[in-house]
Parts: sequence; C-alpha cells; structure tokens
Amino acid sequence: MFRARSPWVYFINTGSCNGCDIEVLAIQNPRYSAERYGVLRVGSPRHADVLVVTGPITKRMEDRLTMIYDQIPNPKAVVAVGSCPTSNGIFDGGYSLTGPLDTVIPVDVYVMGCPPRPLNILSGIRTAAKMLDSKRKGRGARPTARFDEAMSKETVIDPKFRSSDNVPEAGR
Amino acid sequence: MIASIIVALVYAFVAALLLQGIRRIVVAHSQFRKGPSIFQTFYDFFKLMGKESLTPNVTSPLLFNLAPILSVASMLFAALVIPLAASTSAVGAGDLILVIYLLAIPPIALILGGSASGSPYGAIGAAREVALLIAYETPFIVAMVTVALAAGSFQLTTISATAWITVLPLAAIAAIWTLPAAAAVQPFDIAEAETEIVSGPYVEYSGPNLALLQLGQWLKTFLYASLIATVFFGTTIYHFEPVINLIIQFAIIALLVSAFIAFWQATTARTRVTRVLRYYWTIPTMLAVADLILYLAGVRYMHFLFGWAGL
Repeated sequence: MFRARSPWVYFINTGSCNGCDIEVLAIQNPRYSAERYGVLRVGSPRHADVLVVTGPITKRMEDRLTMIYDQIPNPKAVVAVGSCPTSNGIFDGGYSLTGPLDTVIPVDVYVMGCPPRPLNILSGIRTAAKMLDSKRKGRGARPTARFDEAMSKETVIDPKFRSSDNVPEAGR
Repeated sequence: MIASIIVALVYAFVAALLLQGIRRIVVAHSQFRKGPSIFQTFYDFFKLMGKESLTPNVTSPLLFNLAPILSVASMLFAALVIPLAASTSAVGAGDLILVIYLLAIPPIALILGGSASGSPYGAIGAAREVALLIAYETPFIVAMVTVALAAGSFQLTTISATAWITVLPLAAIAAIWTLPAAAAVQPFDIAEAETEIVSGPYVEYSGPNLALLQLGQWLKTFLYASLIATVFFGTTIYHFEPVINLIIQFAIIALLVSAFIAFWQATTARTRVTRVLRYYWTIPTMLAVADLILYLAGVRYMHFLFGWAGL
C-alpha cells in the first residue's frame, strides 16, 4: 500500500541517444508533476525502489548496470524506457551491444516509443510501483550471477576496455 | 504521567511527518507544481521501514547501525522535555541546556553514520555537516542564553511563562533565522546536496536505517521550531482544551516552517560551506549579541518603543 504511493526512482542511461533522458526529465516539471504521485528522483541506488533504464545496453555499461541493480534493496522493480532497452531499437546488430535489457536483469515494465511520451513514462513508473506490493522483501543481498561473474573474472569484457581499476569498490 | 508521555511522543511523531508534507506542498505550489499528498511523508516512512537494509562491507557495522537509533532516541527524549502546547513538558520539567544538547545529536548521528559508511561522499557530507552545525548553533545559543539571562532561569517552564519576542525581538529574529539551517533544506542542504555529493551522509543507508535517520531529521525540525515557539511566543496562549492547544501550536509551527523553511527552499539555490559560516556569524550573531549587550546594559528598548501600548 505504501510502496505504490512512494516510488523513489533511480535513472540510468546505458548508452541512450539522450532522447529518452529528456523525456524522463520532463516528468518532473510543472506540466507532468511526478511528485503528486510521490515519485522522487534519488541520487543513490540504495534509496531507490524503481530503476529506470534508457538506451541499449552497451558492453561498457553492462557490469555497471548489474552493479547498480544489485545495490537497490529489495523489493525493487525495473522499467525499460524506450525501444532501445526493449529490443535494441535502431542500434540492433551493433558491435558494442550486449543485447536488450531483459537478457541482463529482470524487467517488470516496458514503456515503448522512440522516445515515449512523459505521461507514458510516468504511467510505467506507477505500474512498476504497484507491482512492488506483491514482491517479497527478501533477506540479504542476492547478487545476480552475472554480477559475481563480472566481479570475479576478466573475461566478461575485453581486457583492453576494462577500467575496473579506476572504478571505486562501490561498497560491496 | 504515562499518558502525557504517550501523547507527547505520538504528537511529535505525527506533527513532524505532517510538517514535512506541508513543507513539500508549499514548495511545490511555489514552483507551480501540484505537490504530493500531505501524508506523503507517512507513505515514504512506512515504505522504507518495509524495505531491505543493506550494510556495506567496508563500514563499521556497529556505528553505522547505531547512528539512526541514536538520532531518533535523542529526539524522542527531547519531545518529552520540551513543553509542547502546555505550560509544562510531559515529564514535568525541562532544562534549556539539556534541550540544546539534545537538538545537536541528530547532526552528530549523521556525522558518525556518514563517516562510518566508508563512502567518500559520506565523509564529505559529514565534514560539511560539522561546518553547518558550528555555523547555525552560534547565533542560536547566544539568543537562547540571552533569554535565559533575562528570565533568570534555565528551566523551560519558567522561561515560557513570558512571550520573549515582546522583550527581546532581536534575539527572536536571530533564533528564527537559524530555522532553515536546522532543517537542512535548500540554501543550507550542503551536507546532503543530492546533485553534488549524492545525499552525503545518507548515501549508504537503505531501508529502515534510512527511514530512522530521516525521521530523526524531521523530528529535529519540528522540535527546533517548537522550542522557538515555546521560548519566544510563550505558553500562556495554551489555556484551552488540550486538543485545541495542540492544534494551535501545530498551526504556529506550520506557519514558521512554511514562511522560513519552505519559502526559502523554493526560492533559493544551494550555498557554499564557507558562505554559511560567514552568513550566520555576521548578521544573526550580531543581532543576538546586540540584544545580549543591550539587556545587560539595562536598555529596555521595547519598553521605550511600545510602552504606551502596554507591552
């Protein structure tokens, strides 16, 4: 009951063309006014309930995305905004992509469009927030298999492009 | 005794959360938005209580998990010793020095928790919180000491028998001036600074720990405003039924918060740490010190100005 009325949202851009990001920002302005539904934008994934992903998943963003997904406390929901995280969109077949979002993390709501309208994005966030009620609280952090793989091995990303030495430990 | 304690705790909890709802609505309407529900803070609080709590591996777990409890516990204690809409507090006595120390504990809990979280953002936020605390406590304490000196007592029950804004208006202005910094909202949210250091000390907190840490901050905003209302507006106006008294006091505090916290938050941008020190240590501190010196010199300027009005 309370979860549906206060979805705190963390936005992440995984290689989007910024079209969806502009529409996502627009939901906070006076015209669409997302705060009337309790939607707040938060700066840390640990405060978030809903993860909003824009853009196809590039190889460089894949392990960052799983890292952020695992830092969101349960229960959590994922909204894929735009055609790109749903089906790679116009970037389909690109050499630098690891595929649509649902091959990386579980997705709850797809918002279609290129870019989708702000009201549709807001509606998607609210739909995801209502799904939170039926999810279980969970016990302890359960990292995805891909996350463990990314943290333990070198092979997920070409070593030439790997920059994990520069990435702080993100508290895990 | 037990009944009055329960009433004080429940009133403080409900009023603190409602006050944040009012603040968010006022800010939203100032920006031509339709704000959230007035109960939005309740939804946020109970949602966070039902979420999973994560503790980072690099932290010191005891300090990290103790800080939110410390913050809320100190504020619940403060709710018992501040007279809330009555001539006396829930436990029958209250000391001004004790209350001033208690009101400094939520920032200290934030500093402890932020430093223990092992995140660089938490460490920066904790350092900024120290600077903020030093900045706004100076004029506030000078103003409160002036009032205590004039009342001849540190007992809040003795102090609140007079509405001190009619005797020491400069001290009252200085104390009210520190409200936005105590509430840690927009011009003075340097410790949280969502767009700069992603929530500062709060960054590693999640679930119930985050809820309690924020509840401590909300309770502090409410109790700080109610202490100012009690000391400067007096408690002689609360001579009706208890429920009506509580409503009157909540209205006064809501007015203070809307005018001095929400309006500033809606119309200003975040300031820098060094500017906060310069800001609070000049005009507000000077006002409080001026009132202290004038009082010690025996100048009763309000009497000269408004003596004919019988104040």
